[in-house]
Amino acid sequence: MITVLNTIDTGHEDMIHDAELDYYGLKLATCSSDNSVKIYDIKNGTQTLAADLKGHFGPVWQVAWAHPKYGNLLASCSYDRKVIIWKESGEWTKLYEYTGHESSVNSVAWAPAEYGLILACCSSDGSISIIQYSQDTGNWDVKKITGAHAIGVNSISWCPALSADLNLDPLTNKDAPKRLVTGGCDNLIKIWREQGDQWVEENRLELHIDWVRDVAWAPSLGLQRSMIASCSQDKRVVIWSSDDNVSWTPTILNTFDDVVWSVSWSLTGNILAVSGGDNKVSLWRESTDGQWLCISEVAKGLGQTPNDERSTL
Amino acid sequence: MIPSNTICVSEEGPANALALNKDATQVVIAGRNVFKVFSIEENDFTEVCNLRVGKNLNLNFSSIDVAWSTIEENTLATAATNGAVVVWNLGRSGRSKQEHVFSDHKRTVNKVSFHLTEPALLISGSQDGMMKCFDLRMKEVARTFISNTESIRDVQFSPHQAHTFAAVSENGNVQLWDVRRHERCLQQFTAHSGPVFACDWHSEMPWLATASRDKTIKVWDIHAKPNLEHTIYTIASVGHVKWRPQKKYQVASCALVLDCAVHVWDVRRPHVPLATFAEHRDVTTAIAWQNDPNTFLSTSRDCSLYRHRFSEAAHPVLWANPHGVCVSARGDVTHAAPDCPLPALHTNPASDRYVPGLGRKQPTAGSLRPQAQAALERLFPGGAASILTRYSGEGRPPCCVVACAKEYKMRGLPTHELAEHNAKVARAYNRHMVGHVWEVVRCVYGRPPPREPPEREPPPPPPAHTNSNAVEEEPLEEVEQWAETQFHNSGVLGMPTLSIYIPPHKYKIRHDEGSGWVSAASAHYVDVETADWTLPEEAFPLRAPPPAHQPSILDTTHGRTAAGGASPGGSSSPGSGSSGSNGSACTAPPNLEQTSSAYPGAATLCRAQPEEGESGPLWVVHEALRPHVEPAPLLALALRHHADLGDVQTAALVMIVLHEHRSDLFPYIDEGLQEHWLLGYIEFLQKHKLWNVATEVVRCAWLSSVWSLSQQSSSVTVCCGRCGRRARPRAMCDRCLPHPDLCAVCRQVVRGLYAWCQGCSHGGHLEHMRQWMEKHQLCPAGCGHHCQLG
Repeated sequence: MITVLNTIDTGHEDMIHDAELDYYGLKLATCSSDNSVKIYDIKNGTQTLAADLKGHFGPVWQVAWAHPKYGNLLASCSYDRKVIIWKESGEWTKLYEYTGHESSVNSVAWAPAEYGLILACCSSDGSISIIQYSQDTGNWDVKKITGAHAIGVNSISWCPALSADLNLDPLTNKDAPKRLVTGGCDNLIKIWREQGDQWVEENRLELHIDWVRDVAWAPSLGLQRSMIASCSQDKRVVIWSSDDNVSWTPTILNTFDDVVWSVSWSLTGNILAVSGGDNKVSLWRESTDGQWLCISEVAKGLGQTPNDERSTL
Repeated sequence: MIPSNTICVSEEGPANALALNKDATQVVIAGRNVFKVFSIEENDFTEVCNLRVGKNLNLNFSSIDVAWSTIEENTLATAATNGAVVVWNLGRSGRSKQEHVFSDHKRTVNKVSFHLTEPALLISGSQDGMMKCFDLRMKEVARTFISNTESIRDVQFSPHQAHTFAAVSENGNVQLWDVRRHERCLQQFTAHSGPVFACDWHSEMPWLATASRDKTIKVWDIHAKPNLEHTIYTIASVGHVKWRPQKKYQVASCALVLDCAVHVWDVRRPHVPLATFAEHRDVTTAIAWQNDPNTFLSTSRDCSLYRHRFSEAAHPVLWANPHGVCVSARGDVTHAAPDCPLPALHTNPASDRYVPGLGRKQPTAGSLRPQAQAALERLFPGGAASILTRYSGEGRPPCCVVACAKEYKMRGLPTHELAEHNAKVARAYNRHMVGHVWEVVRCVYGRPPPREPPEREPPPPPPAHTNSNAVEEEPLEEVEQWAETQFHNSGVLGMPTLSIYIPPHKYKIRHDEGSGWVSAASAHYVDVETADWTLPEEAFPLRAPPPAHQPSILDTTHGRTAAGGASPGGSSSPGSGSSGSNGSACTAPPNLEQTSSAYPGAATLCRAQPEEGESGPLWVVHEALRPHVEPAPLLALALRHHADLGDVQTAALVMIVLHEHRSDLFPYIDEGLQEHWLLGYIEFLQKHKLWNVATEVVRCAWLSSVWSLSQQSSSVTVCCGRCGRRARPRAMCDRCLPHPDLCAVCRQVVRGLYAWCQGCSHGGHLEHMRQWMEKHQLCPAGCGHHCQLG
């Protein structure tokens, strides 16, 4: 079911830390320890290098695409303590540089487009920044949550706007609270809610016994509940689900053989891709009785299906 | 969080420099307010001597640099801010150890270095751009070297050629001098684009490392012509650089600003440090290896002196996420993974505890066991490569879903015809589950003309509950809709009692097809074609059909709803049914909970799980004869189920297609969820750039919040046809204005009418273009476009 399309020769001189596809799945951005960000156009299974962005002076940990209604915007964060927002207008140029962190910036995420142009980033200095573009002034306004996670924040993800609050009627709930989830070096997952012009800690989810490496809030096209996937140095992937975004129930998806570094949801939020230290990427789907099943697994470069289960619509 | 084997001492003031004696048992630190010698013990430093003593603590004591003779055990030299070079003799009796002061430089001396084999030779580099070689026996300047640059930041004797020294300067140059010849340098080259702050000779290779404000460390092979071998990219101006002893490719560095840590790099992997020592709380001012690759000392502006053991190192490469995985809107998976994974991180929980007071800026992910560290050092240079692979992950479903999205119809026809069309589309793409849902919709909400047209006249519309003694009130508009439903269904009799089953061979075929989506939910699959929906006449007495009756709804939601298939109307109708007046049966659809609790086990579904054997047919047995089956709750559950499976398309589109029957489902699907589905489907369509379909959905939407999307303002941008830049409305592009439009045929400037092809934007004189297009099909400009003039 999962087959290798191709292997991309990126020309990066060092390790690649993140590869992100844009809203349409037609542009691919990669970032690497060699301080560069590269952008590829994907057409019919082939890709061409569109841009090589140099502006960071340290390994670039993560990239994030903004919603296309704001144009082609890409945010990148780096060990050099900076977040750079790149914009394509003919050529890729630096639109904004944020230098508000005292240590490596580990993760960036754009807010759902409904909220406006807002970027959240988090750093090894333990703080989270929420940077909002103000249409009127043309400035980027910064709010900061300090001391979010002791030792450092590794990953950040937004709650989708559509599921903003499942209890409330979305028709009358355009001002639904914004939510963020972060995972940190204190082994905790925290959920933050905007309250007035403050961000407050709404929930802390404890289960992992080592650094949380990645968190991902599931997009919720049609889903009736919220789900967050988290993965950790403790080799486990946990799915947290909630009907009201307030009380969360954990399900351990699996315990892997090695550190799990990265999780990513499919558009419909029902397939989770997991990538771990064993160099494998596996796809997981929740069966109707709440069990998570591995529907596909590939080791680096090989396409294979673990069993005959082809469970999809 | 000071690792156990790291020792530290606090000083009175920050030290600018440190130097080790030749057997690395003692260390001297020097700064503006500090000048001390410590002996290095196993677990701590012991102060041996404080050299900052005497009545007259003048600027000669304010040191920028310090050097310890590599031959004479007691000889030290310092470089002072006032331009003095001071020689100290630790062997002197008395408190003052000052031996001699050379006041030859006019400005601050940045660096002093002893000759490696001649004990009497000392060289200095100064801010005045000069280097002076001092003869300590004669107590005089032996030679002065004029660099012709503004200032010299570092001077170092070569370990390979006894008389050669390197000098680096603030203009980015490196000079190589012969200490015996002061007229001109041997070689000079520009190494950096900014000031060079430090250099260091490799002990074995003819390599010189230079550190610069341009945030790079460069390694030069100066065997013959200087050749750049390696460049290391750091995040801050590099203040000092020192090769790690006995390690050919490793060099330690510290930054001048911003970064407090000491990094050890493998020059073959220039972007990520191999090891990091982040104990200092302010920038590190000097580093020195203790004659062995496993320990070094460092001083910092935070007034501390540390001895670091390499085994305590943190390895940033192990904190870094080596994996990236992303699932695209189109279902493709992109995965970046290292080519050869580094050894697993061994975290030591005890060292992970956060010590608040220390304010450590970088995380320490524990230390590695010696073998792991050795393995890391070995693999480190080769661990740089990552492989980026694209998988067509759950590739097929999105393709099918997108194809279906394009072909589905959502308006313009009665519900059943739309459903029939959509069912065909779904089946064409092997989405049998979805096709089945559409079939059910088709059957439930109207049918094409029945095979045997009913002779019975359509039953009267239900009276507006004049005789409704039984059940709840119902809004008037719903009554009308029910009436319409009833009309559509007039050809069909009540719930069939027959069992429906899929022949094993059919079931099997679907399994074998790779493209057949057989999920757990597909156990509900019912082959509508084989199901006989009309009943034998004798099963029922002929009578007017109850208004709300529906054919079977077999598409239930996985057992949750197995018992939900009976309606209250069904039970209350035997009395009223024969009378032909079914008003009481025509009730507002009760919600599901009530239904199932009121009629438990009214209908039982016996399902054969696919795993129980492919030959197990699917049976639906209705034990009790129920003339009425309320389809709405079941359909609602089916839609919810599809949405839960990630198929928001079916959920949204069925709701759209139901048109006037849609309100049947409203009691089961609240408005929030409806909006959620619609917006979700619209987003899905937009992600696939199906703007037209998305607009259609917005147009068909019944919720004002969704419908109002079409009221949002659209912006139209005018771009210059020549250069593609954004132009002001009704104005020529600023850039292209000077170039008037030329006729593609005659190459003359067009005045007056300009005819152009909207496809390729080439054009010219209307007459010329007409003539051209009569004879040719392709664009006159030669762009290969099949032009059409409007």
